[in-house]
Amino acid sequence: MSQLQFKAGRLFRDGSTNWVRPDLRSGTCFLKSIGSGAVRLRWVADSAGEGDESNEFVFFAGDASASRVSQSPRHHVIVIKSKSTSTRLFFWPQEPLERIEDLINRQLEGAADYDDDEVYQQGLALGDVLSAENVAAVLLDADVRRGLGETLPKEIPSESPRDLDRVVRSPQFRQALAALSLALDEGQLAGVVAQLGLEPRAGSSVAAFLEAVAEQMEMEMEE
Amino acid sequence: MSNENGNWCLIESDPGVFTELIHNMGVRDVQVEELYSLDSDTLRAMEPVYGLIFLFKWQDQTSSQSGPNQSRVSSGVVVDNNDVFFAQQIIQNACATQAILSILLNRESELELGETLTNFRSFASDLPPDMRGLALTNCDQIREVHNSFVRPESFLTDPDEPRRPAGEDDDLFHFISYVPVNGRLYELDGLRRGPVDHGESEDWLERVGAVIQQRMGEYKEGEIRFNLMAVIGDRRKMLSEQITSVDRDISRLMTELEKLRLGESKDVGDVESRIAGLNSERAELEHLVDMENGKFARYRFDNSLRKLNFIPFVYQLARAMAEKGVLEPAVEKAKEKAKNRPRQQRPAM
Repeated sequence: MSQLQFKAGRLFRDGSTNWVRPDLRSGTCFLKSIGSGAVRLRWVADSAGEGDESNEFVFFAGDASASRVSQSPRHHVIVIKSKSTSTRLFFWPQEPLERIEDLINRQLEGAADYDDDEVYQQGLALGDVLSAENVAAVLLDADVRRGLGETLPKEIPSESPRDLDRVVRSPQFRQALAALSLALDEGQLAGVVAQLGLEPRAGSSVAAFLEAVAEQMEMEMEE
Repeated sequence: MSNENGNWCLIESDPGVFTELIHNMGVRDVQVEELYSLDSDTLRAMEPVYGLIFLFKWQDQTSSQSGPNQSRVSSGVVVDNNDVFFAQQIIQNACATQAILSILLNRESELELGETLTNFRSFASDLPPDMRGLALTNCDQIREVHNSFVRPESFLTDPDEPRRPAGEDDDLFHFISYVPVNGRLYELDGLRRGPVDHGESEDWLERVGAVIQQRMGEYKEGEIRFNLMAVIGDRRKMLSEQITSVDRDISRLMTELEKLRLGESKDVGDVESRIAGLNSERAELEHLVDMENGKFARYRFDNSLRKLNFIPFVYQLARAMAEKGVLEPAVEKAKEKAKNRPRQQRPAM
């Protein structure tokens, strides 16, 4: 999916007023369609060090648009507004405003061109893969149960297949799977994936994650 | 933009969550029960009842915007009464905790509040309602306990920015507490400017049902969903006191029975049947204790899963499936299923 990138400074709203104040650092703005009718916007300061605050936002198709701020013609400011939330992001592009405005809007509208159903239909849900039925067979293995038990707190019994069946059927686990599926598809688990020793690609979608886990397992078994 | 009051995360409205929350704040011998009936007999069976929490969930966004406001007071009067500990709601996500505290802090004479809440109460008592709300949202100890119930996945997203419209779902909840103070029934709604006085009521458990029913009647059918919870005394403690008392009666009757038998009295049969009655009462109480123990075991189980970061578990499980050769077929099956799924809802976090 396409990505838009432009050099721009950022401005912040001053408290709850309508005044904006510039962040004095220069930086780059990235807009990327991430499927499901969503566009991710990320602003990275050129001088960004580790631990810098996250500057990442997700907009949904039809919900956001960019416009020039008329109150500050001299100041060359563009605002991206969400209709459904109070989010207002102000940027200070280093290129002609009309062009940037047009490009941002095309990117934001472009997200609408993806048919929602189509995108979702291809999306794999962890919950469907790790269903209680699909995992039942592996829970019969005592070594597997021991390995899983190590990831659980002591309040959760994991001795018998039945104990673990209770965990995989719990609403907490099902909710976690739904949240993790979404996070994987939105590319938010890059750090986690790296920690698990999986290649970066594994953090791009549920399908890629599961493929990478299978490949990793295969390599370990060959060794 | 970061929030100067720190982040209060949305927690699940569940009796197990609320019960542990209260316990972790240092309050002893209190638990929270979901109510399925408003009649006074149901309430009386739970005594001591310290207060009720009425939870609204609007079914759609538009109706929540016309939500609770001053004009919706159909009974009772908003009052300025310093005997009542009332705090205005500052942070939406803190509202469940605030509703619970509204009850506990008004029943402090009967409760063992613990250090955190005792200190908070004495500090906040002299403040006006809006400052009390602010003091509450700024109280680190209370916030820490509240936030310990946050689902770990919610950290995957930036809590300071509304990343997804699902965040708006938060606004669909509202909590109101009902609590008796000095013989009057009060409605504590953090969105109003003061407590709502529902009048003198010797027996508030008799009165509160009607007040809540009237409140429910203000909404069109299907407009909102209700949930009612009661903050009550520790059931197991109550039951064990009842068992002790039954045991005392039994042993008294046993002594009496021995005497009667010696005197070959004709009352022997009567006392024997009273003892039998007490024994079956005792068995019933023991059964209730077992049920409470089972419930608390379930709370522990659910709450520790609520707080769990499932990523290592998911990883291990997927690895085990790959090792046994069942991952690939499961993925294929799931892809088929995804194809036939009309439209997936975005999961709420």
